[in-house]
Amino acid sequence: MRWDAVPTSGALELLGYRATLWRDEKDRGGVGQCATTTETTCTIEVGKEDGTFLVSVRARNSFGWSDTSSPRTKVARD
Amino acid sequence: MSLTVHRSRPALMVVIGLTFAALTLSSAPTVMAAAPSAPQDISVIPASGSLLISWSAPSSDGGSTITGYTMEVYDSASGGTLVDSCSPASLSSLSCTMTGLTNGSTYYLTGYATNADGSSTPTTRTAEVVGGPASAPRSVVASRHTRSVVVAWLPPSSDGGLEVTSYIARAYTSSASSASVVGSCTTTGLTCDIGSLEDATTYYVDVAAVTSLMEGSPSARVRVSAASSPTSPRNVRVVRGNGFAMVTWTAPLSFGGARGVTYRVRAYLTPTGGEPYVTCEPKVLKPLECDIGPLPNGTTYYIDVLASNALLDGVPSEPRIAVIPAAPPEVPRSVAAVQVGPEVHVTWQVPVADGGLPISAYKATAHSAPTGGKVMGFCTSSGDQCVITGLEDAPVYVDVIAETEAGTSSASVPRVQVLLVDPPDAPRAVAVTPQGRSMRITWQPPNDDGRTPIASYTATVRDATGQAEVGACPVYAASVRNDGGAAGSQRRIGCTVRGLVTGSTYTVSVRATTVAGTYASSPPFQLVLEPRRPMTPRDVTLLPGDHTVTAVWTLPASDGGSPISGYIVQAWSKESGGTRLAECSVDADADASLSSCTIDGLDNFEPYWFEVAAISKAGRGAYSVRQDREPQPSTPSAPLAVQLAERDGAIKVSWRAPWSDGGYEIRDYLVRSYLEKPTTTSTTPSVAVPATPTSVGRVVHECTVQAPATTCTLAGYKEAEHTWVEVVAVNTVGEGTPSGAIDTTIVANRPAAPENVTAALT
Repeated sequence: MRWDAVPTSGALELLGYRATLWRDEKDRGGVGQCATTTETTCTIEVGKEDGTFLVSVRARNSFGWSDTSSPRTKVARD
Repeated sequence: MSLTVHRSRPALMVVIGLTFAALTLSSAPTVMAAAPSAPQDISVIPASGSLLISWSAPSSDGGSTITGYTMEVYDSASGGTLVDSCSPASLSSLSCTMTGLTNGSTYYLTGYATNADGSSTPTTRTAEVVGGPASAPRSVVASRHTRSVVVAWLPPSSDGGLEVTSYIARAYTSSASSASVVGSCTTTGLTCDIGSLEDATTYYVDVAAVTSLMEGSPSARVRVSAASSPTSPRNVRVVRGNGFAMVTWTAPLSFGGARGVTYRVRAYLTPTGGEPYVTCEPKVLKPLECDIGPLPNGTTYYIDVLASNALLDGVPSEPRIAVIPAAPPEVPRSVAAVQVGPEVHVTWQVPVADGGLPISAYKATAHSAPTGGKVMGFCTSSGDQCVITGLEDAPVYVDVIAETEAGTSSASVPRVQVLLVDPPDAPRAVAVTPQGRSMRITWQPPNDDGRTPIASYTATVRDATGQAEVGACPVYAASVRNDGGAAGSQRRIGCTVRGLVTGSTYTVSVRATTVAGTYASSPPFQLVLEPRRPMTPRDVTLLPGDHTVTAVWTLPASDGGSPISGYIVQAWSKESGGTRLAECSVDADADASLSSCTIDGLDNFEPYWFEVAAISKAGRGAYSVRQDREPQPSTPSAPLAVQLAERDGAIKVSWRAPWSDGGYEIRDYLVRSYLEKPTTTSTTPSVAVPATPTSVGRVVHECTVQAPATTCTLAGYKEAEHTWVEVVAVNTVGEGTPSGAIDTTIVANRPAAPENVTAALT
């Protein structure tokens, strides 16, 4: 998955991103996560599971985590 | 000490056979001469490679003067080979030295005397061994142990030609050579212990090497002082610890003449006397320091250090050093912080525990972030509150620490957020409408609320002196529709004060109060409560343009009881009197505080005198005092109602177009951000353009937009950065008058949410 760098880092140094893969809108645990520092791409292994997933990304600085990217992005196996 | 070996021999009587023969050969009555008897009392002093031999004259010279003596050594007791001989240099000296002998060898010595009649019978041979005394042992040292002195040395530089078989060390009570030996020890090694001595006696010790032949020269005597106590350890220092005290010292000047010095640190509960509460002895690797404990915190202990040698305890260090072991204090509790005007008042409660020492101070610190961040200010106190000053208009996060001589507590957590704000600007354009015995007071919200929403307004009516309040009415910002009560609103809001007396003079002002409790009041003004014509428009400003002049003013302080319907602006040829050259009029906007009217068709660079008056049903009010202005191509006037919206390190700046474009269309707006509040100077773009104020300062960020846009975003700020912002309109003539600079401080926040997330499942 990839995303744009955050437009503002809250006047603090950006510490990284965390992307989460969700089964659906009701999923609260997530299927998997990946984290980066300044990179805006990362990969989550989902095995051979078929179906549709949702992806979201959050950014973090020393003040805390950003809101989750909204809406969650839908992704399905080609 | 030298050892001389004397060997005496009995004198031998000369055999008289020869004498008898002589007597038979001589018939004359003469004295009968004979050979002398043998030398007597032969003594030998052996030396290295030599023998020094001395003797006494024979008992008989045989009747004839002795003419010589001869000493001989042989290699055997009888017969054998003559090895060497010697004779005295003169007969007055009855000694001679035999040299060239071999050290350690035994020779057999005999001797005889000679006169004119012959030689005496040789003395009986005696065995003599050749060799000298060893020199004194070197580097003799002695130290005292219990009732003994241990002596050590190095071998002598010379053994006198003989093997050293042993050493003897002797102890005396005096250095005098006549002193008696009071103890000794013998060894084949290089050290021995002279025992059975007294600890309290000073001894002198020497050592001699002993060979098979003799004892060698003794060494110089070494003084061994009487045993005494070590003196006090010096430079004792005590540092408090948490439940212990770290003690250091330096060695005493004297160890008391004995080896084996040890130290003992003692902690007492009293400055003198008493028994130690606890003691400690230093470790081998750190012989001059000791952490004494456990010592419960908060109690005063008195520390000394004692040195002891193998024999005696020394004198403890004095005076005992007081120390109170302690831990750092616990964290202050119940920290609270609130803004009071330009200050932050911080309060707290004492920690649960002070660690054993009284708390000497508290320090309250304002940080720029909930964790980490910059220190924005601090205050200290020995009590339970202090005031932090000098903070800027941004949130700060306050914590408190407690300090004792034992250290500093951790900081209170979490930090207390204080929404630090500037006071708002005062309500603008306050105006009054007399309504019988009531007074309707209206105003426009301030442009700047100090970053805190305005909660309410209070219009207050006081007496003519401005002291006694005679009436007031509140307006809550939330009750005004469409945020009309918020800062920056262009709508006029108001309320009515009743119960007044017609014809009386009153003083009116309006206060704006924010949710943070900060406030500002409009300048008070006076008016008479009665129906009248409108008062004079206020704050008349004339803005020149190309063949135009725009007049801008604030509505009168009172409309006299009838709504103002319009305004008239007149241009005159003189300051007073003269010819009216032009005029313009404009309808009043009941919701506006400011009005303007532009007179065109004027001659550039000609002076005109302008006046403004308000009109109501009651008639035209008085004109304002005339002001002159020359129409000419100009830069734009200052942009209006500049607002800052800071978020996430960026500042969104918005404004309204200026009253005057200077006669030419506004092309751009420049937004500049300064490190410090800019100063203003006047510049003249050209001889044809009037002087325009220009800001001077260090620009840190700027942005530009084309008109008619009236927003622009400044970006790239860091946390806690404080900046001043102004806006300038630009036309073809140049940069216009800058808006007044307003400040803000960048507040740290969470990052913005990522955008444009895409993903592919492969």
